[in-house]
Amino acid sequence: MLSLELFPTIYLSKLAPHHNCNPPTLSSPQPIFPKRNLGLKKGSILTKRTEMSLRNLKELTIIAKEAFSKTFLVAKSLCFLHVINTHVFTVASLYGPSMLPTFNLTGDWALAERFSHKLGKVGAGDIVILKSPVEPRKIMTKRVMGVEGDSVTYVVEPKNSDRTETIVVPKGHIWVEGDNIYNSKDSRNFGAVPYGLLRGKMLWKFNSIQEIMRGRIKKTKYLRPRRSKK
Amino acid sequence: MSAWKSIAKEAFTQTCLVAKFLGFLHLTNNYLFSPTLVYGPSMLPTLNLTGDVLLVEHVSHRFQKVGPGDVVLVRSPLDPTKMVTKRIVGMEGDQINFLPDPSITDICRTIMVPKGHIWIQGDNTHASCDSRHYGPVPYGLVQGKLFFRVWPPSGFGSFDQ
Repeated sequence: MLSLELFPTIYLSKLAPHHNCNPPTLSSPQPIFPKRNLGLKKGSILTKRTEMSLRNLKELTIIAKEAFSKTFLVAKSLCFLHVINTHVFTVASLYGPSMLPTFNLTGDWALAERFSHKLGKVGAGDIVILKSPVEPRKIMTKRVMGVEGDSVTYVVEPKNSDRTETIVVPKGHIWVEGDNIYNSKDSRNFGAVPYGLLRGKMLWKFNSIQEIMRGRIKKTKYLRPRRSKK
Repeated sequence: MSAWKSIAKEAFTQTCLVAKFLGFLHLTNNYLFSPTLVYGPSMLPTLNLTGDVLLVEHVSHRFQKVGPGDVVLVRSPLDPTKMVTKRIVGMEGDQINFLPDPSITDICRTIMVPKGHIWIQGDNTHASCDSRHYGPVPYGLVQGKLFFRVWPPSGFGSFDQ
C-alpha cells in the first residue's frame, strides 16, 4: 500500500532520484517522471515516490511469480522422480554380511524393479527386497527359496550342526534366505513371510564406479550360488 | 499438415494435464487418504454387510500411531491381492486370550504377539477369518486406518468407536 506523506518543501532540493544518474538541479525541483493522475497538483516529489514504490512492487511481484513457478517445476519433477522410484525402478544401497558373496559387506549399489512382485512374477532364485516382519521400518534383501506350496529343506543351524528340516510354505507366503546362511536372519528365524511384504526384485548389481564407467554391470540373476537340490 | 500439428499439440497438452491430475490423485491416495468400499459380514455391526464407503488415511501407520481398537486396512496374508478390514486387538508384546473356533471347542488359548506383529480380529467373531486362523500379522502389512464413513448416509460421520 502506498503511503502518501506530505513532504515539507525544505527537502525538495536534497532528494536524489533512484533511477536517474543526473542529480536534480538545486534551483527548482523538476518532475523527472511524467505526471501521473494521482490527483496531486503540488509535489512532483510525491509523484516520484509513489512511482518508485509502484515500480518496486511490480518488480517484487514479477520476482515472486518467477520464484513460485520455479518451485512448482521443481516440485513436479520431484513428484515424477518419486513415482518412478516407487513404482518402476529404484537404486538401492545394501550392506551387511547376510548376502555374501553376492553382495559386499561394506556396501553395494544395485538396481531394483518395483513392479514384478505386483504381477506375481517372483519365484525361487530371485533376490528380493522386502519389509522385515520383525522390524516394520527396516527393509532387507534376501533370496527367495520357495513360494507357496513348495517344500523347502533348510539347514537349521549351520554353525553347530548339519541338521536339516523340511517345511511346506503356506498359502500366500514365501521362504527367504540369505546367501550367507552362517550369518543371516531370515525365514529360518522368523518363519515364512507373507507375500504382501515384498517391495521389489533385484535386477542388476553395479560393481563399482570405475566398472560402471567402463559399462560393466553384472546381472544378479546369474550370480546364483551353486546349491545341490535335495 | 499444420492442422495435424496443432491437433497433436493440443492432444499432448491435454494428456499432460490429465497425467498431472492422475499423479496428484495417486499421491493423495497413497500418502493422505483414499475412499474404499468395504463389504462382508466380518465387521458387523460396525460395518454393514452389503457395502460401506469409508475414508482410509495412510498417515498414522507410518508413524506407528495405530493401536488396539483401531479399525485398519490390512493386506491379507493369505492372498496378497486382497485387502481386509479388521480391528486391532493387540500389538507386539500383548497377551491375547481367544477362542480358536467357537463352533468346535470352548477352550480359550493364550498367545503373546511377537515383535513386529499385530493381532487383528473382526467384530463379528462368528463369521470372520482373522488372526485366530492365520496367526499374528506383521505390522508391515497395514495399509491404513479407517476414520470416516461416507456411505450410507445414515452412518455419515467420523468413526469413533
